[in-house]
Amino acid sequence: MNSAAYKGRAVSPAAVGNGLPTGGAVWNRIVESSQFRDLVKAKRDFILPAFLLFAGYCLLMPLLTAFAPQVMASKVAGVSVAYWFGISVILLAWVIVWLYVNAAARFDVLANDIVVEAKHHAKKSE
Amino acid sequence: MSSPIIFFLIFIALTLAITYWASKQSTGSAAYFAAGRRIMGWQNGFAIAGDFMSAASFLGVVGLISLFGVDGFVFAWGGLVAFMAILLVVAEPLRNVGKYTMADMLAYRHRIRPVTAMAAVSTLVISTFYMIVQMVGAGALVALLLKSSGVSYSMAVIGVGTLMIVYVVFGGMLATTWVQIIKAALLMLCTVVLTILVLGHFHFSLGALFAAASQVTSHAKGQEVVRDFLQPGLRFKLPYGPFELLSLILVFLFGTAGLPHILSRFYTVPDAKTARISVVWAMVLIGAFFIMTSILGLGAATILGPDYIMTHGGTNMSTPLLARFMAGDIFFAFVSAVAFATILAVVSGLTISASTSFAHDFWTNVIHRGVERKAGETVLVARVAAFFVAGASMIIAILLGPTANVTVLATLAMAVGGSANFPVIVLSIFWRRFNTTGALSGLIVGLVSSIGLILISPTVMAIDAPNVAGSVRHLIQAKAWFPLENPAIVSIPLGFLGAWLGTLLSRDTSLEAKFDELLVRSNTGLGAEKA
Repeated sequence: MNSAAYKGRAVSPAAVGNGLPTGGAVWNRIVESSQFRDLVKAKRDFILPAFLLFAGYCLLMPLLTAFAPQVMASKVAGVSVAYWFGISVILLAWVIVWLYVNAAARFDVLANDIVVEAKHHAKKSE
Repeated sequence: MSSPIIFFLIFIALTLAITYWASKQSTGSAAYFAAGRRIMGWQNGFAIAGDFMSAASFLGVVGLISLFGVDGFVFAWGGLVAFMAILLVVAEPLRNVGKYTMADMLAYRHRIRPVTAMAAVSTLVISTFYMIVQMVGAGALVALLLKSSGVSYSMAVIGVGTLMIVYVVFGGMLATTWVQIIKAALLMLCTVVLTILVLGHFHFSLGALFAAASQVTSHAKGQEVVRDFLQPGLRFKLPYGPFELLSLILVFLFGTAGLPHILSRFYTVPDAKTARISVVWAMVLIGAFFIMTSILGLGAATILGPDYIMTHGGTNMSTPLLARFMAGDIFFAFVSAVAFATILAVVSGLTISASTSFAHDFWTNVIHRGVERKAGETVLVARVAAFFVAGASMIIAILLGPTANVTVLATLAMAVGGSANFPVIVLSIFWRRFNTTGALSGLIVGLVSSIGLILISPTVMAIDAPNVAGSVRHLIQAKAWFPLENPAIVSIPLGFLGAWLGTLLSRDTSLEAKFDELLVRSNTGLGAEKA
């Protein structure tokens, strides 16, 4: 690890000595490329709604317990809704996991294109 | 020699052999702290599940369900909820930009020394508190399980502590990971067998199990009570029940994603994609595990009954007692040994994350400004730190004694994870304007508010009856100022607020440009640490 890096204010330890460009302009060029914007947008469009949906669904539990205890206590197939709610959270989690794994395969392709392009660019400018 | 001892000895021999093998593998920082980054996806998935399925979930959750019915089940599915934030938000960026610890990622875009120092403090607070909980639990449990063999509480604590020092000091992350994988596999095996036995008891009819669970007889103050264990409200009673529930779910949603021993698992795999696959494995395992614990809990409530559980060692003994009832002493011994393995594996994971944070973050990055003065210094410091961390928690656990109320420390660890670490991790990944002052104030406010609120909560403040024994008395004999046991509902928003206010008030925008670098690296894996 390079000690000179630490004298600068925020050169991250891992960034030193792996042959990557450390200049801000290089990163900025990638951030502003349309490919990168597409990647970030694609990820956000999946992750944000998925997480909010899941968190919102989980938080229904205390809300129902507070405002509709009779719903949580009513029985479906011999068991209270409170129990089925727990099971449904686990099943919903698995569904989101499955969707995410598929979506992430697309993100990997986009990310890989950006990496290849960046390395190509770095070589050219050497 | 009684049979639990034999199973214990087999497990200890196996794990020591692994430790010996691990110590012969390649040396160096990445090998010691991150198992050479060569752990496969399914392996890391088992290890994450192992880190999370502590004795608290194997024994504790089954126990809670066996006493509180479906209200106890919240503690089970909440455990899975925790991994959604890890999967979607935390795991991949952390692997892409970090080296060994959470602080590495924060260091990217903030001033390294203050932020790393503060992140190390928070990591050490979480790991030591969590470890003391596990140690006290381990001592009490092992002493209970081995009562017939004459093992005392202190002997059990010293035994567990010594083994974990051996794993961590000699075997590093590689040995810790494999101990965790084996234990997770044993735990799943044990749970599946026990679930099949319970279902078999009801002739494989869930209807029959549920019918029995809706009429559970127990005795309180000489009165016979028949309760429906499938009805909510046995634990989360009005008026604060819903708030307690809300706080609990919030801590699950955000707290686990800030637990250092879980986060450090993502550095042991080759790349972000493998990190993702490992979370998927963990979520499948943990979900299946917790569905089964609900059957075990209801099984214990109906087959054994709450009276029997309370007179035979309490909630933590529900699972082993159920095993003995269903399949005799040998299976009881096997389940006990698995519980022991569970504790041992979790404390080892905690020890290595605490010592890594001390050595890599504090010693090398803060004190020596990122320079190893001699090759191997960081690993050496980590080994020494592991020895001290483990020693200190052994001594504290022995001083506290087996009956100490340690749930407060467990709550605290999770609450600090959610209130201090999680806001700062998330804002560092997503908020361009976020700066060093914001990160520091977020960490400090999250840490101080969760500790402060717990100190004035009913877990610490309450008025005990005069006949309550000294060790289980509440620390402050007064009415609690804060009504909830779990502070997350207040402290998580405070953590975010602290980070936001600190950022705006300081007006420091000097490192905003670094955000581009973090953004590119965390999303693409460009320049990530190689396996």
